[in-house]
Amino acid sequence: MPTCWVQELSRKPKLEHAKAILASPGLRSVGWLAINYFVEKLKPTLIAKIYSTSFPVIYETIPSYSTHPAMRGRGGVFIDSGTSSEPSVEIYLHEDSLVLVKGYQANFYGQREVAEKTIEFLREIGVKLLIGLAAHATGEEEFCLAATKPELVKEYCEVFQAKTCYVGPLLGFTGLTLGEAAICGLDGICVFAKTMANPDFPEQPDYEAAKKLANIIANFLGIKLDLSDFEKIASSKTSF
Amino acid sequence: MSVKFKFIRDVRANKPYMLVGFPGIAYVAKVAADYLIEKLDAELFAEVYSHAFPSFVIVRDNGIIEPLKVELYYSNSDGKDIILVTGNTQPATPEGQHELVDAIVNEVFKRYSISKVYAMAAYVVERRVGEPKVYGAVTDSSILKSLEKYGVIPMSGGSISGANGIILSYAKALEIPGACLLSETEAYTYYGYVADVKAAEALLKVVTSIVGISIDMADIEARAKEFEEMLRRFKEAEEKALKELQERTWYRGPTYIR
Repeated sequence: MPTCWVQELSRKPKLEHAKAILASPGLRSVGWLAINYFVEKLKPTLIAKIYSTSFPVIYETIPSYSTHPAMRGRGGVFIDSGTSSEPSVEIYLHEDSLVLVKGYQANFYGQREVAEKTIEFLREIGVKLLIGLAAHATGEEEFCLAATKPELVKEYCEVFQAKTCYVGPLLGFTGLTLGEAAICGLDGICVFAKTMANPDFPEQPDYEAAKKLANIIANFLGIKLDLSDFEKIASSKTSF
Repeated sequence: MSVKFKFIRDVRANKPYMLVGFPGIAYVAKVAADYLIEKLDAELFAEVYSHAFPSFVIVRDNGIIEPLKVELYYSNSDGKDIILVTGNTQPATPEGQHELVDAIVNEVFKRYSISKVYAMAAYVVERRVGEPKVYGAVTDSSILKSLEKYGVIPMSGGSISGANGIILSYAKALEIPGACLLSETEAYTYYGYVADVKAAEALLKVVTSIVGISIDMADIEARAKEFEEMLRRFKEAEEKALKELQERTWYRGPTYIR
């Protein structure tokens, strides 16, 4: 029985020079809200889903992205209006140039396999640059940047007018996927927006930080978006 | 298979010694392994990844996203082929540690054969008196005798947890003579999450003698002195704080007498 698999929902695209933006539930849900907003607003085509037997529907760890071998969580399915659906990573395509990845946090035993499958799929369809969306709570810089190669650090610090101010662990799906990109030689960067940590509720949504992150990413991608409805749109498909 | 290798370059090693220093208690083995790599100018030839590594990557101060990994280095020093094994983590589960160590020992053995395995580790004592002693545990009791002449004290009992201990089992299974050398570190460093450079220095002196290689020890000797001075100041501050606490709370007479 496979433990992690890809369901392709359309013919696998062959892209040239495509970028992928990627996020998952994380610190103050900043990256997560931003990716939700892009998906809801751009209405991209869902092209694939990645499933894992290690995707819990109920997590035992707080936050969900801080996994532990002894806390596997509870497997199951989601129900919406009487219909079941399975937890999955969702991969979308927008105008043959932008891939959007809504991550899902596996438990300890499946998290690296999911990251490997995700990168394998992104490379197969021709993604050349992976952009992780995340948050930092360490200092005053509006945006911090990290990358898988020194030349990318230099290039994208200039592009985003950001510094390499975050030092430390990058947890969960976003971190592990960027790590897998580094291992495979796929270019990857991570843009961290400034937020304030809340130890009692680490994933409490910070709409302001997420909106700023969405704005800087939209500008970089050359996408014109009216962000006035950000909070309503970004939270529409997510419960906190 | 949840362990994967990424070979970076081909090396020609002939029945090398394998020196192992996974990060563990007080980072003693890791500090020693890193120092050997630096001073032997060893070349990185492979990286190893495990699904059982903890759930994060590291963002370094230069902005580089670094995956968790084990690294294999090669050096030829004083005519001896050496493969050094270290990394920035260990698998987070016993099963993962076994799988990783099994894969490394078998892969390296298959490619180059291995003449001996020396793992490095820390030995926790309450208080260290004088220079750190180095203890040894071996795959075969006949090896013990040869280690005693380097001042290695046979480890009388207990256990060696983690990959630095587990590797002895896999060496033994392939009939490779193996030893784990453990340098004394204080419980203080164990709980304080500091790197015990003094213990690493002592370990390096013994390991290099056993393997028969010479390296410049000046840098680690200087760092060991700095570490000892830092530890002395920490202890002083701790004792002072403890004394003040005792003076504040110590015997004020029975509370029931008014």
